[in-house]
Formats: sequence, structure tokens, C-alpha cells
Amino acid sequence: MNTNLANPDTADEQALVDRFLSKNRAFLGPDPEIQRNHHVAPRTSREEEILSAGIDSNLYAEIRSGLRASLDETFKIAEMTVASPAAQCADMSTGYFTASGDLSLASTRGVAGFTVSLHYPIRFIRKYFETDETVGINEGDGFLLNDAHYGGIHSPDQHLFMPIFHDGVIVSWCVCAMHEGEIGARVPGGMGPMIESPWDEGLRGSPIKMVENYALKTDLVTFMQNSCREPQTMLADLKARLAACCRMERRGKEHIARYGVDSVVGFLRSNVEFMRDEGRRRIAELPDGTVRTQFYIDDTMREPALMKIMYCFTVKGDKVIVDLRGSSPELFNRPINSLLSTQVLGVAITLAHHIWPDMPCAQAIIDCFEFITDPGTIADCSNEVPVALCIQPMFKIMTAAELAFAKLYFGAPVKYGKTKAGWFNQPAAIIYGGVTQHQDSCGNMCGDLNGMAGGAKCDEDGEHSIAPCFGANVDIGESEEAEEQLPFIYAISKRIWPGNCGFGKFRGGAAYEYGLMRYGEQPFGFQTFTGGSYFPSTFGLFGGYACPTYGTVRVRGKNLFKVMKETPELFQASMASIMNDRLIEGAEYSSHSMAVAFELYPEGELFMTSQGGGGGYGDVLDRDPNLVIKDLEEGLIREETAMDLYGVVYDPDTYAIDDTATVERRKGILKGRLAKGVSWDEFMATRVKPEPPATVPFFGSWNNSEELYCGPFGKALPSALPPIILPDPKDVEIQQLKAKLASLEAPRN
Amino acid sequence: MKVLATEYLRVDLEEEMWECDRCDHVLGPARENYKRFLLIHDRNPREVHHPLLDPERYRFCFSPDPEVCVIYEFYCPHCGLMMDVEYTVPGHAPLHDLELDIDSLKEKWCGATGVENDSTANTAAFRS
Repeated sequence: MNTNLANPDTADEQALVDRFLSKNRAFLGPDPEIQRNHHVAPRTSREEEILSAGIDSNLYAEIRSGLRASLDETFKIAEMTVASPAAQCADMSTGYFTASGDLSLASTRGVAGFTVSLHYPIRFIRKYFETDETVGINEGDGFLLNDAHYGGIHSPDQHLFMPIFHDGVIVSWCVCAMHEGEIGARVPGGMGPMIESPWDEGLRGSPIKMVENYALKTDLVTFMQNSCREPQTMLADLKARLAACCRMERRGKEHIARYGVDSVVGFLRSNVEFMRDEGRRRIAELPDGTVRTQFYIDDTMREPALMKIMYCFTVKGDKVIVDLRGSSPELFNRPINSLLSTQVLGVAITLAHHIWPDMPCAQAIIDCFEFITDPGTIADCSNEVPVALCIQPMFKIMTAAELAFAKLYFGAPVKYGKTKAGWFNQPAAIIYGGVTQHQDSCGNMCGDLNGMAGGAKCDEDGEHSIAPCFGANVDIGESEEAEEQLPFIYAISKRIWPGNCGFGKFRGGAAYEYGLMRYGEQPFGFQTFTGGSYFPSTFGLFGGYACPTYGTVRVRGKNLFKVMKETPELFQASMASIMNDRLIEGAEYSSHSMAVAFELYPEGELFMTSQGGGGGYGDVLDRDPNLVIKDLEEGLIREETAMDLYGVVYDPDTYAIDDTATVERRKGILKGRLAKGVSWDEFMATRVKPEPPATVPFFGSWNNSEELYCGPFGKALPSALPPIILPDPKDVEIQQLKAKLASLEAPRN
Repeated sequence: MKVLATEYLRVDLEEEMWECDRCDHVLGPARENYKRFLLIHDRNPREVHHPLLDPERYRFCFSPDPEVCVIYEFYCPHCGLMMDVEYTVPGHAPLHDLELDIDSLKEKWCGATGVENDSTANTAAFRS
């Protein structure tokens, strides 16, 4: 027995100090040692002992199949019982982890990205809570997490962790992770432009023991319900996660009983090591080289801005360096900053979904990646700034990785999938909040977020509104189901509009517009939080064009239900017709960016927006004229695009192609390119400027400048960035109006 | 041996030169930025992405804003093939997007034995 621990008065001095410090840490905040390390943990002594004795591949394959079936079974249990609209659309995942917290196996459906970044909290729980007498880790415990500073993507996601014990020792962890949505933030749904500080983000759940002895703790559940707008959804989803975890734990124990604990522990670890080693092997196959991509987030969510994110992927041997330096400084009071762990996650998801589709999705596959950043930038922000919309920079690194590896693999002897252009990459969903027709308070998002279009491929067009960039196997939900639960109707539902895809030899997938019309008298409103209104969000590849830009549009000041009833011919279910023809007398028509703050809408007002298209692939002049006409017939492109951009000559009445004239027109376009194109030297001398344009605040490096531009705060070296606190746009507008008023009121000479 | 580096850009590994895969025009040294050897045109994005809504009435018309966005189009100086497109901020220098290590590329394709892999076969394998 250690008498020093029993009686502190008899401890030696150092032990006493150590013990005091360990017991009196003022705050168990996010641990950088954990949060900045995405690598696979070293083998435990037990894992080393098991694996060094040799493995039985057939046995491990059998265990893998069994556990995989368990994950799919538990995924289904949760999917069928959750109440969160996103999780009902399969924005969730289940997974088994090693005892150290490395993800070994995730469910085949849903968004594996949720489980990919959950090694961080498991390591936190083990490091800080396992030996803490006030917490501890026991059989039947469950820990809930939603704060991205401890792992996961962003706070609207909630994850439940359950340890799997054998003979009193933790041998594995199981997790049910999902997008919950409503978490009591300043705005409904946990995400929105008006979030200006970490304290606006709602519940900031560091890992909390929410479950003991396989039961939810009523006091904590009540606290969670009391802290959000959707108490019923909160309860239903906590129960759904617990049910999934209990079943996963049971299945895990059944496997231990059947195959022996060493076989299960050995399998879990060997699967992680297989993914780690296979990822490294595949990188080593690539030719060395560097691929650079730069993106611009064009909206702080409160005002227009150009925030550069610089991505430089360098392959050297069996390693990849991801250099994010040159990216925009973090914004102190805007929600689009991203933690480094979020960027790391974005790369892992992309590799698994888009580059190595045969590989499981786990952080182990990018164990050979290293990240270089300027801390304090939007790609690696501090803990003091809001991150509620970190998916903006995260989706950018996903497309950056997608395009980088498309280029690196094109010239490589071995490939693992088709080369393709950028997937659409913005959360173009309408977020709603208020009181429903069932008198419940609510705040969540439409499943339309998942309706992103796919990028064009090297041999075929991209798919229309097929899946989000972060998960292949999810859904967009049913309009009718949403209408039954929420006080609006889809006045426009899933309508394709011409030009909403990246043009090219193969075009990107198209995406749909949709419009929600308020129904009922109760207070209820909408908001959006998407970029890409000024500058395209995703790009094409090898000469293919990007997607267009998007906005939100409104028809207000009139109850359109009455219009539809009295003069139905005036209402066309088309955003362009409604906004350009303006047939409804007395209505107010307006367009806005894709980032609009929450506002209440009375009955009969209409809020419209669009999902985004995928990038194009290859030169437009290489596109088969028959495919161009097919696009025209299907309403995917405009006539000007077919004629002027694709260079196809056809009869406008019959769409019959004039092959000879098409060849001649295309020759003419090629000649035109040679005439208007200028040499590199001339271009650099006449077009390239020493400073960014002054029209919109610019953030980040300009032409590889060492200093980062800081918008209205000048420029500074990355090590000396000023706190960027932007004024409230409404205050700016008030000041401008006051100045205008003063000038009008000034006595005239 | 010649290897495709992009859909339209080829590397002659022996001569270490970039080439246009459409017209065989030799562009320049493969250890330099290939964009230096192409023609560049800065294009108003509204020529490509026509506004959905009337731009006279609506600022947000579902077409990129030319004040903050320009398209750099890169053409083969011999045949006019559009090899790359870059969306950027007006006045920004073109991005050096692809910088392959030519020695490594040679090693991957020819290996220590010097036996050549078939670059077209591999690309074709992923086309349906």
C-alpha cells in the first residue's frame, strides 16, 4: 500500500506538489497534446503481446464481418428511433474503437466522418476521468460530447461513448454519433450568422457521464432538455444513442465470448494498423510533387469579405505535408473559424470517400499526413473564437484534397478510383426555428443540406443532388414529412434551374432550387449560413468550369396562399419566374447572400434558395454536341451556353444539330482563344497587382506575401496578428445613414 | 516515355518537356511551371455563368461578382485547347498548382528496372 497517498502529510515534497496539482487543476479544458495529434496511438502492452504472437487473418475477417453487421444493425436501430431531422436523413454513424480510442470500424451507412474524429474525446476521458474518483469509467457508463474543442466536428453534433469491459478492463469503446441540431445556441439549430462568440454556441458539452449502469441520468437529461429549444427531440435522441450503444456493447461482448478477448482486441488493433499501413503504402506509390489550391470564403456570415484558405499538399516518399499557411487570420466575432482537428478530419473523409473509395473511413488512413499551419488563422484557430460554422473551412479542405489527389493520381501508375472534379461543398440548407403547428418549440435544419451535386468525372457527367461531400450514403428527406411536422410547405420543391452546374467536357451534376412558404400564425422563421454568393464555392478540373454562385431570395409583404387561391396563374413554382416576372402586385421581392440572419416570417411569405452544382471536367469544346443538346432539353443549361460556350449550332425549334456548322463554330472559338490569350510575361506585367482589390475586405496572403492581410486592420506577420473584431453591420449602416442625414441637414451656403 | 500529367498535359520523361496531348506541341521544360508556356485570358465570369435573376434588379443574381472574381483560362498556344481554368481574385497571380518531381515521376513509371508502365492503360482502366 502506498502510505504517501493515504496520508499527504507524510508524502515527500515533490509527490505532494504533484498530487496537489493533479487534484487542483483549475480547468480541464481542451488538451492540445490530444487535440493536435491525429496519429494512431502506440500499441498497448496487451496489443503488442497479442499481435506479436501472430494473427489469424481468417479469424479476424470473421470478427470484422460480425462487428460490421453489429454496426449496421445499431445504425438502423438509431436511425429508426431518432427525432433529429438530420439524423433521420442518416447524418449519423456508429463505430467500434480500440481501448486507446482509435477508430477501427464504422458503420457502412451514414456519415463516417462523425466517428473519424472521436479518438480525441476517448483519449481525454481516459486521461482525465479514468482515475478521477468523482467520475471514473465503469461498465454501463456512457459519456456524451458535443463541443468540437474535445473532438467531433461542431457543437450541433452529439455523440455517446460507451466502454466495453472484459474482466474489469476496458477492451474497446463503441460510439453512436449524429447531428442533433438544436443545442440551445443563440440561433435555432446551433448554427447561424449571428453567432459571434463561443458563448453564443449553446451547450458546450465536454465529455459528460450521462449514462450510468446503462441508464440515462434523469437530472442531466433534464438539464440538457432545459437548455435547448427541442426538449422532446433531445430526449428521443439520447435514448436512440443509448439503445445503439447498449446493443453495440452487447454484440461486442458476444464476440468476445465467441472468439476470445485477445482475438477481438487483436482484430480491433490490427484493423487500425492495416488502415494506417495501407494509407502509407498508397502514398508511397505516388510520384513526389506538390499540388496547390486556394479557395475564398466570400462571406464572414455578416458581411462580404474575401478570406483566403491556402492548401498545399506535398507528397514526399510515404509522407504528405499539408501546408495551410497563408490562410486568413481568425475572426474574433464571426463563426467561420475552424480548429486544426476539423481540417484534419476533412482530409480523412475526402481520402476515404473520394480518392480511396475502397478504404474504410478512419483517421488511421492519414496517419502519414502532417499539417503545417499558422496558429490563429481560420484553418487552425484558437479556443477563444466561435467555430459554429467551421464546416465552411472544413468543406473547403475537402474539395482541396479532392482536387489535389485527383491531380497527383492522374500521373501515377496506379489509381484507386475515377478522376473527378470538385463536389459541391456548402451547407446550403435553410435553418428554421419557432413554434410548430403542434405547439412544440423547434430549431433545426432541412435535410436539403444533403442535396449537393457531384463533380464531373473523367468519363461521365456528375450526378444531380446526389449526396453531401462528406457522406455518400445519406438522404435529403421527404418534403411531405417535413410539411407534416413543421409550419411551412415546399412551394418549390427540387426544381432544376439552367446553369446550376460546372460546364466542361463532362459537366458537374446539377442541383435543385427550393422555396419554403410559411403556413400558420405561430412565430416561425428562417436563416441560412452558406458562402459562395459572390465567388464560386467549388471548382472544376482540367479546364472544367466551377459551379455558379447562389443567393437567397424572398417574396414578402403578401400572403401568397391567398394569391394561389384567388389567382393561381400568377404563381409559378420557379424562382426565376417569380423574381424576374414579379407578377404578384404589392409583394416585396428581394435577393440576399446565402448567409442571412434569423428572421420571423408571417404566413404566406416565401423564402427560396438553391443547392449547389458540381464542378466540370475538361474543355467545354470537347463535349459531345449530343450531350449539349440533351442538357438543353433537360433544362440544365441555357441556349446561350449551348451556342456560345459549347459552340454547338442547332435548330432552335427542333434541336437538330448542324454538325458542319458546329465544327466551324468550335474552330472559330479556338482561334478566338489564340487571339485573346496573352503570354505569361505579358499577363504578369499587365494583370497582376501588388495589392488585393479594395472593394471587399481581403484576409490572408496576397501573391505569397509573408504578411497576412487582415481586412480593415492592415496586414501583419502570422506571429503578430491583431485581434480581428468586426463591427456589427447594422451599426455600420446606422453610422452611414447618420452621416448622410447630417450632410442633408447641414446648412447650405 | 511520355506520361499524362493531366487530361491534356503530357510529360516527355526523356526530354523532360511539357507537351500538349492534343496537338503534340512542345510547351517547355517540365521542371518549370507549365502555366508559363500557355496563353492566358482573364475572363469575366458572367460570360460563362449567366445570371439567373435580373442583375439590374438584384445584386445576388446567382452569377459570380466580377468585382471579386475573375476566371483565368489557360490555352495551348498552338491549338487553343483549354488546359486549365482558375477562379481567382482580380489582380492575383496565377497559382502554380501542379509541381511534379520529374525524377520521382521517372522512377515511378520506369522503376529501377527501366521497364515502362503503360500510362494510357491505367487511365483507361478508370474510364467506363
